[in-house]
Amino acid sequence: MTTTHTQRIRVLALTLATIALIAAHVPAAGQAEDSFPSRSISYVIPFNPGGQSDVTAQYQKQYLEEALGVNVVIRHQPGAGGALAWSNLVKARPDGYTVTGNNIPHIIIQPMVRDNAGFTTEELKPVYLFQSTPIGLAVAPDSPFDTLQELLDHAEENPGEITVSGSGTHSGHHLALLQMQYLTDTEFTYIPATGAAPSVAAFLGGHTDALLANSTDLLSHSGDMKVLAIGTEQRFRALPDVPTFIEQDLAMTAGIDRGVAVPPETPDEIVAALEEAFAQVSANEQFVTEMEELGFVIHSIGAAEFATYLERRTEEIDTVLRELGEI
Amino acid sequence: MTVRTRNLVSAIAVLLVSAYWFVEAGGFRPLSRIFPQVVAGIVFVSALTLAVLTIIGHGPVIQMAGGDSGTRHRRSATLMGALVVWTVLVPLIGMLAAGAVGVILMGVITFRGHHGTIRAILIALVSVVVFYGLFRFVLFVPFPAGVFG
Amino acid sequence: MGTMLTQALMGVLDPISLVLVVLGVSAGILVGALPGLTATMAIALLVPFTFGMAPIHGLVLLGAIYSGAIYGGSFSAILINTPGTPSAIATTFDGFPMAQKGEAYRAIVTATLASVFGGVVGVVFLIFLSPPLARASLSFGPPEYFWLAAFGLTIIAAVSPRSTLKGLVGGGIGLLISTIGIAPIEGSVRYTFGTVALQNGIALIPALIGFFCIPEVLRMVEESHESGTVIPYKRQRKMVTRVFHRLLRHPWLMIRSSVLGTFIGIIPGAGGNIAGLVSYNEAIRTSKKKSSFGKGSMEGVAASETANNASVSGALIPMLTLGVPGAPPAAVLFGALLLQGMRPGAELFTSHGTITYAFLFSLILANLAMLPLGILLGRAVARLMQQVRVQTMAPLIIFLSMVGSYSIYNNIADIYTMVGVGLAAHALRKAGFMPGPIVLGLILGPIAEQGLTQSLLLGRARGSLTSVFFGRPISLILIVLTVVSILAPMIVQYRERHGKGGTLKAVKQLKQEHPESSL
Repeated sequence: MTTTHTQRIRVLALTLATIALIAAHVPAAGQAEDSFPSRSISYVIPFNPGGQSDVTAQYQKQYLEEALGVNVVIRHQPGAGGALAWSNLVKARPDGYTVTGNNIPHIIIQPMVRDNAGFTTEELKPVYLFQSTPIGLAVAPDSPFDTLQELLDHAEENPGEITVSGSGTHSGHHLALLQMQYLTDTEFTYIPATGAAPSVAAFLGGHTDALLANSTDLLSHSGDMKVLAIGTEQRFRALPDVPTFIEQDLAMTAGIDRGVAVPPETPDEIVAALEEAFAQVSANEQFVTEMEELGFVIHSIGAAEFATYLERRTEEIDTVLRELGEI
Repeated sequence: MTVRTRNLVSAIAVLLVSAYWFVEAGGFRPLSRIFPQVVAGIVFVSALTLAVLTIIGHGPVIQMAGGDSGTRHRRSATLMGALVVWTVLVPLIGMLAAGAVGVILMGVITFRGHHGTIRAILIALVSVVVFYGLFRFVLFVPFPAGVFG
Repeated sequence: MGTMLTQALMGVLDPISLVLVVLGVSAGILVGALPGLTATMAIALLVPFTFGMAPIHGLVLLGAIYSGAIYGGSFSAILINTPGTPSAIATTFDGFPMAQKGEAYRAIVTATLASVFGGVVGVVFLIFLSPPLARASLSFGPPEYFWLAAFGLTIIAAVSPRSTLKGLVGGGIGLLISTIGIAPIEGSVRYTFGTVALQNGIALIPALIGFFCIPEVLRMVEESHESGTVIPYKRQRKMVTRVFHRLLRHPWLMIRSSVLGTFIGIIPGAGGNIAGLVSYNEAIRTSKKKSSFGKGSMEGVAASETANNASVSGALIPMLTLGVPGAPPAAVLFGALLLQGMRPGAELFTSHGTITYAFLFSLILANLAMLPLGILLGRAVARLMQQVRVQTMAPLIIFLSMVGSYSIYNNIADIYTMVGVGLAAHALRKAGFMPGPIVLGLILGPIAEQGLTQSLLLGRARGSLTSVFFGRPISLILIVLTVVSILAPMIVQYRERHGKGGTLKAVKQLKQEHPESSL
C-alpha cells in the first residue's frame, strides 16, 4: 500500500505538535525559587556504592533531610577515580541542587598529574568537610617486622623488595607511600589495585607484604593484621595501641578527607545554607557515635576553613610530588 | 560489495587501527603501555593473516542473512541516520521530547499501512511517556531536560 | 546454635518477609529484563529505603532483588538478543536462536528451572562452606587473575563457530577498546583523543546494550515485512514438566554449572559476568553434540543460567565472611549491612546469627519463588511481544535502552557510547565480526591487564618473574585449563577431518558442490 502525500504531511504535523507540547511542559529555568531548598537535592558520590563515601552519605541522608526539609537523593557516578563526577559537577547548574562528595587528596592530585582532568581543584567550591579516614600501614600477623623501624631498615637494605598494597595509582594511599619513601629515602614496590576492597583482599591473601589502608578497613580486619603506624597527628582513638608516623620520627600524616562541594559559580547564600545543614549532621551525637564505631573520624570544618585547608594541602602535595619527580 | 572485498577491507581497517594503537602507546609510561602494545601486536598479526588468507582465496566466508539488496542497505542507512538524529536531540530538547521525536521518526521510516502504523506509533508514544514518568518520578533519575529546562 | 536456626526460620516465615520475597523477586526480574538496568542499580536505589526497615526485612528484600535480577536478564537475552544484565551474555548464544525457531517459551522455562537450581545449590554452598571458600577466594592474586582472564579468552573459540580467526581479531578489538581511559597502573591517560568523557573508558553496560541490542533492533526493523510482529510464538502445553524431565537427563551439566558458577562468583572482580560464559564453554567442551550449540540448544541456556544464579551466592560468600565483595551487587549489599550496624566477619554468624541465617534461608525462598513468578511473567512477556508490532517495539526498546544506559551513572556520555557502539557493531557484524568475542575482550581486558601488570611488579620485587607467573598451584591449574581449552577443539576438529577417510571424502565432495561454504 503506497503512502500518500497527505498522510506524510499529517505525520509531520503530528511530530511538530508533539515536540511543541512536550517542550512546553519541560520546566523552564528561570522559575523563581521561593527559598532554597524547595525540591529534592542530588547528593552525588564519585565512587561505587558500598565504599566509604557511600556509607557516610547513607548515614548522613536522614539528618540532612531533617535539616533541609527536602528529599536528598544519593546517586553514584564512579569513574576515572572520581574525576567523572567532579568534571560533571563543574558543568552542573550552580543552584545548589547538585552536591558532590569531594575527596582529599584526590581532587588535588588528579589535576596535577593529568593534563586535562576535566576540573581544577579551585573549581570545586568547598562547602563542608565532615569526615576522614586516617591511613595506616599494616603487615601480616606472622610477619617478621614488629615495628615500622624494622620494616624501614629491611627496605633500606633491600630496595624494592617489600610490596605494599594500596587502593590505586595517585590515590591517598599512593601519596602516603610516596611521602614515606621521600622522608626515609627508601624504596618499596607499590601494587595498586582498583579500589580499597581489592587492595585489602590482595593483602589478606598474602600476595603483598604490607598494606596501606583506611582506618575503617584496618578496624574490620584488625585480627588479621599488625598495624605498624597510623597517619593521625595524635593517637587514633579506635586503635589506641598503634603509634603514629609522627611518633616514630616520620613527619607525615596520611588520610583521606571527605567533604562536599558545589559548582564554582554557586551563590554564597546557597553555600551557607548547605554548610549549615552539614554542620547540623556533624553535630548530631548519634551520627558521630555510629560513624566513629566504624572507624571514621568526624570533623566540623566549614566552607572558609575548608578552602584554607585545601590551599595548604595543595602546596604540600605539590612539593612532595615535585621532589619525587612525579610531576 | 562481495564478501571477499568486505573481508579484505575490514582486515585492512583492523590493521590500521592496531598499528595506531601500538604506536600511540609508545608515549605512555612503561607499565601503562605493555598491555596495549602486546594486544595490538597480536591483533595486527591476526588481521594480517586474515588479509593474506582472503587474498589467496582461503578466507573465511560468512554469508550474512537477508542478502545484499540495495533497498535493504538504504533502509538500514536511513534507520541509522534516524538513530543519530534522536541521540543528538536528547541533550537539545530533553529525553522525553527526543524520545517522542524518535518514535515518530522511526514510525515514519518503517511506514507500512495507514491504520496499523498510526496505532503502533501512538502505543509507542504512550509507553514512552509512562516509562519516562516511572524513571523520573518514581526512581528520581534526573534526565537531561534540554535547552528549555 | 539450634535455637538460632529455629529463630532464623521463624524470621523468614513471617508474613512481611514472605511478601518482600515475592515483591523483591518480581521487581528484580523486571529490572533484570530491561536492558540497561542492572541488579547493582536496583539494589543501590533501594538501600536508602531499607534503612528504615528491620534489618532482616531490608536484607530479604535486597537479596530477593539480586536473585531475581540475575535471572531476569535471561528474558531480554532470549527475546531480543540483548543480555538484560552482563551475566546473561552466554544466554543469548542459544536462547535467542531458540526464540527465532519459535521456542521462546521453552527457552524461558529452561532459564527459569536452571536459575532456580543454580540459585539453590549456590545458597547451600553459602550456608555450609562459606569460611573455607572465602579463604580460597583470597588466594586469587594477580597471577591467578591473569591466567583466569587468559582462560576466559579461550572461550572465544567456542563462541565463534564460523571463523576462529575472526573471533580472535574480534576479541583483540575488545581488549584494545578496554584499554581506553586511565591506565590502572602508572596512570597514563590512554586513547582519549583529548576528551575528558573518554577518561573513564568505554562503560561496559552501555557498550553491551550497543553491541547486542542496537544491531538487533535494526535487523528487526529491516526484516519484518509481512506480519510486522517480532517473534514467532508457538504455544505449548505442559512445557515445565517436559523441560524438567529433559534437564534431569543431564545431571552432570546442572551440577557442574552450579559448582562452577558458585566458585567463579567467589572470585572478587570476576563474578557473575564470567560465570555464565565459562559454564557455557565447559558445556560445549564436554558435550557430545557440540555442533548443536549456538543454534538453539537448551543445554546452552541451562549451562549459562544455572551458573549465573549460583554466582549470586558465590559473590556473597567472601562478602559476608571477609567483607570483600565478589561482585558489584554484593558490594552494595555490604554497604546495606554496614548501615544496619552489621559488620562482615565471624560475628555475623554468631551475634547476628539469627538475622544472617534468616537472610540465607530467604535466598532459598527467593530462588524457589522465581519458578512460579518467572513462568508467569515469562509467559506474559512472550505473549505480549508476539502481539506487538515492530513499529512499537523497536523505538520503545531503543528508548528503554537509552533510559537504562543513562540511569546507571546519570552520564549522558553513556547514551552516546551505546549508540556509537551500536552503529559500530552493526558495521562489524556486516564484516563478519560477531559481538560475542568483542564483548568478551571488553570484559576480560581490565582483568587481564591488571593481573599482568601487578604480577610484573610482584616479579620485579621478588626478583623472579617465572616464580610469580608459573610458581603457584592455582595458577598452574588455570594454565592447564587454558591449554586444554585451546587444544581440545583443535584436536576434535583434526580427528573429524582425518579420522575416518570416508568423512574426509564426503567433506571434499560437499566442498565441490558448495564452494562458498566455510571450513
